[in-house]
Amino acid sequence: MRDNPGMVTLDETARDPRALDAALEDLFRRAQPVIDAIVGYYGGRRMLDRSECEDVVSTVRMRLLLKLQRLARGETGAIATYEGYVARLTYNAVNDVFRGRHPERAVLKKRLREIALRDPRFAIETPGTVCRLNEQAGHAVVAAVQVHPLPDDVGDALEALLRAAAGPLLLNDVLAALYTGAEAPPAPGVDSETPLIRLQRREDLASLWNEILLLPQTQRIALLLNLRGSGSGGAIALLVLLGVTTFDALAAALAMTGEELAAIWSELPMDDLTIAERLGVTRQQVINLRQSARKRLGRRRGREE
Amino acid sequence: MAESDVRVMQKHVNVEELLRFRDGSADASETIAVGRHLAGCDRCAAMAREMFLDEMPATFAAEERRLRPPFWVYAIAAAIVLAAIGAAVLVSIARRNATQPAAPAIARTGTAAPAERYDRAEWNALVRDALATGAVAVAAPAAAVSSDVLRGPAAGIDGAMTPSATAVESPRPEFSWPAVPDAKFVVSVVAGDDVVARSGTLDRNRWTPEQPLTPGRTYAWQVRAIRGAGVETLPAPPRPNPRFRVIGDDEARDLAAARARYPNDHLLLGVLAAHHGLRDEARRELARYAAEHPSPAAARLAAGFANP
Repeated sequence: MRDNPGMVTLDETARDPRALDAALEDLFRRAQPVIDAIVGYYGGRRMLDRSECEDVVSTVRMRLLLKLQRLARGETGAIATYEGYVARLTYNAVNDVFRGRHPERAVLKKRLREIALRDPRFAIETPGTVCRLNEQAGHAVVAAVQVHPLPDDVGDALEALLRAAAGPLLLNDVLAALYTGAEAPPAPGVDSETPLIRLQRREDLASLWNEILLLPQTQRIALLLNLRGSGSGGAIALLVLLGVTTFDALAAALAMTGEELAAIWSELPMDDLTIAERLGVTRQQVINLRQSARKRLGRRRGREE
Repeated sequence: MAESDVRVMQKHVNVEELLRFRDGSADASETIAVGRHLAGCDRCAAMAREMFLDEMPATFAAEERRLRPPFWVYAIAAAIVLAAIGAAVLVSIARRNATQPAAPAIARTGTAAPAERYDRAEWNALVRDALATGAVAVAAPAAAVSSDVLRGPAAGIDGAMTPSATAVESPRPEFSWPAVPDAKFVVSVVAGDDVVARSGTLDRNRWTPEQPLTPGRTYAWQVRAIRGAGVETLPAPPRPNPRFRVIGDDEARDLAAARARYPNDHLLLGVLAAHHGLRDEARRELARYAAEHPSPAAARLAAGFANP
């Protein structure tokens, strides 16, 4: 733990199995309140039913175990913010469930389960959450690895993934690898991106934010108040949560106080008519302002590249 | 500051508070307390950054895509070049055949002719801008769906699946898809994360939902084709599902008013249809306008909504 109470390494305990077990047990005990809080948040709002909550909890625990085992073997770097990491695993697993409600993905998941159950090459373990090749009985669950290209046949693709991973896989991880549609989720729970790539992404975002600050005020407001993410809800909160800017700096960029921004927070992203009323212009002018902002940003970022 | 704010500010932020901050369900005092706490507490800021790290690429990729010149910019540029060539040909024909009325029509249907005669300033502005630029400003709801809504079906989708990449006026649109011999079909319509309508098992490749869909919402849909023991999905993965939007009540009223007042004004009706995302109607009306009023501006407008 050293100077950072959230940082987790297991290198000191890895040589002693009993110490390792105790350390893992302690880490799971620390993780459980975080998992319960997030699952309870969505379960309490009836956004997840009971079986989905159970699915999320078991998936997160399995992915966490995989991560900690890799950590103990020195195959991955330390976890900088353990509770944050557990929260990310859980938040991603919940979003997996939401995405999984898309019919296309649900059909693929059903087919995958059927194949894993009926095809003599495979077996299913741990009440339907882990699949393996027959010869992988007794092996520990491993993280999925990327295989390109995957065979078109789902059964053959499953076999290719299991052979490449050299061990049993979580069905959700197999699904993520197979599902290559527009709604494909990030591979959750596995470190598919290096910290460097993440840093680069944050720097890109910070650079975009700096360009937004240079826009004329009305263009900036028209753009930010309507900023939408890929899913539900506004994207503006992420600017604060990801540390790109502070809440009060965001408010200042919108020419308002922090209190004023807090008062409209739940209404974000706003539709054009509401923005128009706030700015005292027409809806068409709001659209034009936003288009101008995007053109200007596009030109500037084009120059950067 | 209220007592609850002091509570949040004095201790660290928990995951429920972060989730409420993220989805906008916190009240104003909690929002400002969490927001300001993140600015001053390294531990909670690190927790928040880690927790929402994977949302960053997906969320801001959408905005990044909007910053790139979309495909239709190139399509319009190409249409302008083609229109210019077409205009040159028209002028040449007009010169050769002095009895043809084409030249006066071109002059009469310039950029300003019909643009100030409507009793709504927004209609005048839309038509004037459309004639001047060859493009139609898309209303926010239509634009919010995706830039592909007005510009053609998403790449890879079978064009025979309708509705696709458009807005529709009826809350009970007819769905159609390619016929598959000896197959039965089940249609699923999705809004966000919820399946909002599902057909029974169908014998033919058309279906109209019994219950109306919600105006103003965007939907995706797909078909399961069941043949014997096999099940196929249309469109086949990894192609994206067709998407469409049911226009909102305000938009429907806007269109109804225009149709009632200017039933034969194909320019206005086409521009308004395009503005609200009704691609098929825009194409039909603007093609009629271009046929009746041949001009570079009309050709340019019609070309922007021609079949992809």
